[in-house]
Amino acid sequence: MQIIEILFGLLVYPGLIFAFLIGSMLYWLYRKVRARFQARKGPPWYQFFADIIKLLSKETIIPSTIRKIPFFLAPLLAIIGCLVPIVLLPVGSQYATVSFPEDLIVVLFLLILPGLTLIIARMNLGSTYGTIGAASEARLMIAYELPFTLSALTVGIYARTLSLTSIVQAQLIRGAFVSRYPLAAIALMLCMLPKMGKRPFDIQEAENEAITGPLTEYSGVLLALFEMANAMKWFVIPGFAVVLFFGGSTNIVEFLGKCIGVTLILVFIDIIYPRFRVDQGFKFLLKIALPIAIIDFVRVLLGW
Amino acid sequence: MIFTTIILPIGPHHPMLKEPAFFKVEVKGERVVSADMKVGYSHRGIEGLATRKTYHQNIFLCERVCGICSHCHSTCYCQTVEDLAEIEVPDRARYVRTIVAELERLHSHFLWFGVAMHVIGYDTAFMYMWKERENILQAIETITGKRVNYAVNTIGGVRRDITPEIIPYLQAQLVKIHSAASKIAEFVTEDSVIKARAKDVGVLDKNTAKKMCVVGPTARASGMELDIRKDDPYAAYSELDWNIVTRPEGDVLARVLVRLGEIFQSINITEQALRNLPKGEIALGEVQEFPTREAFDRIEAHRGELAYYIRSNGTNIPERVKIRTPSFMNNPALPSMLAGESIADVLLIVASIDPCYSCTDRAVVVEDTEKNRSFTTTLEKLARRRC
Repeated sequence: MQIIEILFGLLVYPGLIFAFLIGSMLYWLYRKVRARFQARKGPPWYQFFADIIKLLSKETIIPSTIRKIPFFLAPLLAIIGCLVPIVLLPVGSQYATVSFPEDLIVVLFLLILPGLTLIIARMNLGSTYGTIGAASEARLMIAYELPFTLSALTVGIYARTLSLTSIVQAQLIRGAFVSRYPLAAIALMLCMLPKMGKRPFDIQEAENEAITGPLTEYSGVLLALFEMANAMKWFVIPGFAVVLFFGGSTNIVEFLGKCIGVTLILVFIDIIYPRFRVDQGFKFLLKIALPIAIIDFVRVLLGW
Repeated sequence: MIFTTIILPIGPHHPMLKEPAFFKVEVKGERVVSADMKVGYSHRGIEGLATRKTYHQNIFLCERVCGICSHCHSTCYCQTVEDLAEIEVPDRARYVRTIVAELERLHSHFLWFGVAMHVIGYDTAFMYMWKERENILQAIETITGKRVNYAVNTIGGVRRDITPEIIPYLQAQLVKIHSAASKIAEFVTEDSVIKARAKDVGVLDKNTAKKMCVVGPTARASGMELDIRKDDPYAAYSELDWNIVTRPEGDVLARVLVRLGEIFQSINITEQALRNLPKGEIALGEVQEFPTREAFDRIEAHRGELAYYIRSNGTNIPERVKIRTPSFMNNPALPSMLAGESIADVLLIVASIDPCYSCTDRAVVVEDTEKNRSFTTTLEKLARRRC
């Protein structure tokens, strides 16, 4: 019985299908709000699904010069990196589908995967462009993973648990942790921007600077998988922030409302900023995001 | 950490290049060590074609050298032919030419601003710039009937008049453009990320700028006070009150600020020209006589000095039309700007001089009198043949 429950969680709710639907809606929200702020009309709500259907019906071209295994593995890992955290997150209730005492650490590791797969995809291009792009992206990753992890651990230490379910339950009693450790929450939000590839840190999508995007060689079904992972990222990363800092929730409507709130903050930052150069983004994250994450980390260690 | 240098080819086809050009960038880690550029992928043979068409047909042809500075090309061509035929253009025509030229400069600078913002990833600003640019295009359309390739010039004057009814509309549009430009000025001077991206990037100091003979906003951003509208006044510029905008820094930010200053100057010039529009004819009758001689004239296009040289042989077809576009002078300065910069800035620096590639393409035609044939070749092959 339990296996069926887990499979249902993984594939239907809150896993694959649900996460894909909600993620693509949040992605559409981003595109629509952005378009309206830029005096454009923006895409209709079904645009993303139309794109996916089109990609699935296209031929998948596999370049002869490419290393096959990482080429196929990258989109699958990207999907896994978004899907498994959703099962571990307490979405819309106090309890996650699967829960064990150290799942915060597991989620932190899995959330590295979407970024990592883009590096793999780039390295695999087999050209100078790919190498340079992957190098700058890896450099940025070092800068954002550290404050991201520190902020998450701040919450874990304060709640005296590494289980996401217990973190949500602790917040239901003591109030959302954002009021207790606002600096850690800000650091987490700042690091979410490069994790999602949004301005001012959208270096991974800046084809005019890194010469080529990570997905240049992908087409057809494999590109569709990447796009689906991208849409799920719009649900899982804001969802992670909601669980850690914004109190989680006991029902799905409240949870989605909070997700939309977090997404809108990211969207507004994305609209009003130009792009940093890689080294400037690196410096910004290490000079601003890391110190404020450390301040709250020290505060929680000292018990202030 | 020791890096070996690698060659990074940018182009001839690249998402950020609007026209084909090839940049051979040698990089060490993330720094550019040296750069080289090659153009010549879109030669159109306009100079050759111009020697097969009549003077009046060539107005149409020269207007199509460039899509963005079409009025500049036709103005410069018409002025050169007017020098050749020794005719004076009526006052009102000179003012109409000035007004259209300055509106075109405004639209070109707005377009460039949008592209520059897109290069640094500021798509919101990009969209707003191009939205505001519509006001300028509407004003131009009201005067000339077209949005690009205005076809307003003719030898000895202009083809369409600015009627008194449209002047209030044009003035209202100018107010709109002015408020949009003020908004641009606000965020360009205040936004910290734009400053971080553009300051001290792609520096071209005054000495190098002089050595490279750069022209237009690129030269003015390197501290050179160089503007054909003041140095060799044409149209109505000598009768209007305006200033040359210069900056001493020579970096990308200086080029942005020079163009920003020029936007305000252009609005000022257009307003004055509209106010002081003289009465009278807009064109002379059709010019038929083209005596055998040569003529040279130049104007200030949006990217810098544009020069035309025409030699006639007494017929109604020119013997030689030589076009020297501003990008022809600005492009060779790019490699020296790129050296020492980060790879991420390469395309920003390239965009900062507002380059145009296809108008700089030339072919060498060799006429072999012994074998009685002519063929095209490159300068390198010619040099090899000599030794």
